[in-house]
Amino acid sequence: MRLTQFFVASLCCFATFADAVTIVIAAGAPRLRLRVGAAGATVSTVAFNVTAANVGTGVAVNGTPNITIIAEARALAATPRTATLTVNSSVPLASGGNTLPTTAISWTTNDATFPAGSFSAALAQPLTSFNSSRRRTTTHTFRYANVAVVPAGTYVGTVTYSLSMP
Amino acid sequence: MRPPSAALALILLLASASACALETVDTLQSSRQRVQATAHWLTADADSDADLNRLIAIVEPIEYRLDVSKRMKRRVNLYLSLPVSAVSPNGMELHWQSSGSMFRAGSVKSGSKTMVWSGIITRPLLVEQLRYTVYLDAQTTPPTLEITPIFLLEVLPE
Repeated sequence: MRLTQFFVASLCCFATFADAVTIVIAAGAPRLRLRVGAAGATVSTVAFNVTAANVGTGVAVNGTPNITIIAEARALAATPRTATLTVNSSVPLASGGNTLPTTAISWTTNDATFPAGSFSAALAQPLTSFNSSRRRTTTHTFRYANVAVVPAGTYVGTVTYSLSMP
Repeated sequence: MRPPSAALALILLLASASACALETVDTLQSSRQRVQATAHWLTADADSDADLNRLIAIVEPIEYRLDVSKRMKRRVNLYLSLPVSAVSPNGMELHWQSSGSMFRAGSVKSGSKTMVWSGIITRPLLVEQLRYTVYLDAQTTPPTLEITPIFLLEVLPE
């Protein structure tokens, strides 16, 4: 009842207010957020421990820890955007002069919208796309295929995730 | 016996006549007639789905000069109102702080009004500086939004 009263009042009393102060608000820029593993600038490390007896047996080795990925894209609903998450795995893991391609590493996921897969060694391998404003969170469990027999050593490499929203 | 629909119509007419005691206050003498602001995301990292769409715009202080000369010596209620706009009522909320001691701080959603002062008018101009903060919902906010808060005067019986 009170609501109805107000609308009736609006019709007869708000007829003119051309002399009022007007505030013009422009929307700020869209916003992206990406977190892979630890917060801040820390680069999280996933370790695969392959014993000498098991090298190249084809029995996959799980990495630890699992990595949580949070991807977030914000924009006005009036001007929606599509965000795309990609990963650069083009640089192989290396130990001295020996290398291991990143394609030997795959992952499973706990979120179907963030599909499981394996690194393609591409500069920008698409992982998922989603519309704003959304946040996607998934936890990846990484796995080393352990097919190749390679010299002993600690192989280190870095893959870089990027979230973009043209 | 009068049918229920007829009784309802009668009540509406009475309410309308009473509410029309509200007058729009002339603010032509205010410092600026158009003020620019930019909306930003309320939180850098959204911790909830609700935070994903929350925007905030902080507006530079506006000095209002309300011409109430026609109601000298009258007891009034003064309201700040936000007329309905393209943004849905749930999508926008205007908060304000007053730099003076006269107007009380408060908030209003579009399509409603909030009392800012009540008393007897003793001078022809009410001068007060307000600092607005606008909260918006990205789901309903257009790329550019114009909002026009207005002051409404309710003249009380003598």
